[in-house]
Amino acid sequence: MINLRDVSFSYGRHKVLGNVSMNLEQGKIYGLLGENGVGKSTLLKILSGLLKMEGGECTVCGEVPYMRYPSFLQEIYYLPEDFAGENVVVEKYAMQTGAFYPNFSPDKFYRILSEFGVDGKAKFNKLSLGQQKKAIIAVALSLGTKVLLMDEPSNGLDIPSKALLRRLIAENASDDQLIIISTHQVKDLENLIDPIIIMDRECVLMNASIEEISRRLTFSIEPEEDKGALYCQRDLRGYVTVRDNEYGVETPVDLESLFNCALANKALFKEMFNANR
Amino acid sequence: MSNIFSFERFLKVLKYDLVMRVPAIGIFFLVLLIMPHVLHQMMDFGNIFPVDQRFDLCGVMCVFVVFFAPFKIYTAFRGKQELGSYLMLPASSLEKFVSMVLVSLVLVPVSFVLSCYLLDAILCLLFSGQYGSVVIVDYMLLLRGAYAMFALTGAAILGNTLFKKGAPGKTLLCMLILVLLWTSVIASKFFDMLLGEGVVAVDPEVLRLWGDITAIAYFAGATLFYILAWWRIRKIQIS
Repeated sequence: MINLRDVSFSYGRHKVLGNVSMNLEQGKIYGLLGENGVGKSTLLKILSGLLKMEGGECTVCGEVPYMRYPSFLQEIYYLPEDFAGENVVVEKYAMQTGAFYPNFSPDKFYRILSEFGVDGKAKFNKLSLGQQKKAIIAVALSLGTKVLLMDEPSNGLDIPSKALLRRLIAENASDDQLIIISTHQVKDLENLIDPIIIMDRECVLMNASIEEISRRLTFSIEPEEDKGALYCQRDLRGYVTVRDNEYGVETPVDLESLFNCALANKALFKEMFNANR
Repeated sequence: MSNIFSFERFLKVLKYDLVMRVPAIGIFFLVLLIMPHVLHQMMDFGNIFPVDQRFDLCGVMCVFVVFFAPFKIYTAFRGKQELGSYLMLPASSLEKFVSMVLVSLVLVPVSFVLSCYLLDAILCLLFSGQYGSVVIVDYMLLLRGAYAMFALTGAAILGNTLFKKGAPGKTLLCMLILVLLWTSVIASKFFDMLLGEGVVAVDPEVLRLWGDITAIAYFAGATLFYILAWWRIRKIQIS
């Protein structure tokens, strides 16, 4: 559904993406992780047609995003990290925007909005930032697009709302929908995102499912430091340790440790998880 | 449905613009509508407000409305998030552009002039001593100014898509520069003829020709504004 081949992009002289290749399939919720400035938001903007890549090929649902044809735009929705609260009533915004999307469900919108506890008759700019975020997430989930791109959706949400967000995304994502969630807050979206994409400067370190990760790596908390481990970091619980899964014992994947391990073993991860597929 | 232009989708865009964007000009519209009457009351309270003066001022206010309408209504070009929402709306750039032109060039000025007439009629009924009796509506007012409005709106729409900060001022400045450049070209032609002849005399046919060339140039320039604005909407990126 999304195919990228050697995609590159620079802001002036600063190269952000270089030869990024990946194939993303429908029916999955991808987590897009990476340090600040590696190009996560840039990648999402290229996929949504808001930026034109400098080199390579990119197709989303068989179309070139930058052409911004209506047939493409009605199949994709991009939820930016910062949403500009307009001076319009929430439900009016939803109904007017939803009219352009053939699979928009007003019932779903009102239901999600009600679960979030946001007043649909309020104006966006009269709501708090968290409430604005919830309102626009309700719009995004109700449009029924084939591709949904979310940039830091849990930013600004209170703790109960983060759990609610996980549940609502899981419940409302359709079988043929592809969702990409770019986030730093991996704890907020644990158990939701699968596969995991980790980006580094100008490249992709890994693009793998949770199942594949747990087949290749083990995650544990140890009382002692293991200098031979791929990654070992002391925290309040002990030593968070990531090792090669030599014995085929699958352990729950700790996304935060996985991310830190990937950054500490970039070449290994690229080779291990064959990142450019 | 065509990806270039679909009438059904265009109507959705127009409705979206009318419901979501046009209300942004509301206060500005009202202020310009009542300003001539407020100024008259402040400066000439109690005296007659002649009808030709009233409609001349309506024309002047209409110019302001026409110029500022794109900047007030289509604020999407001010910020990244708003621009992102605008570009991601599932419609073609041509549909969005045509809606923008229809709203800015036709709907807003026509609404303004009709509002002027309506307000004038009400004031005539309420204050017949100052305003006299209700006048017959001068429908030609808009058509007489159509040529200038076409150019002004085109420049404003293009300026709105190009400039983020201080867009109205920068647009006016660019227009002034273009007018000065063209006027310099015209002046240089006439000054050549004056110097060559040695007498202050200009062939009326040549004068008429340059008048026609100027009119064509202004129209071509205004049309170019619209084309460039559409191209800008089509190609714009946000970082």
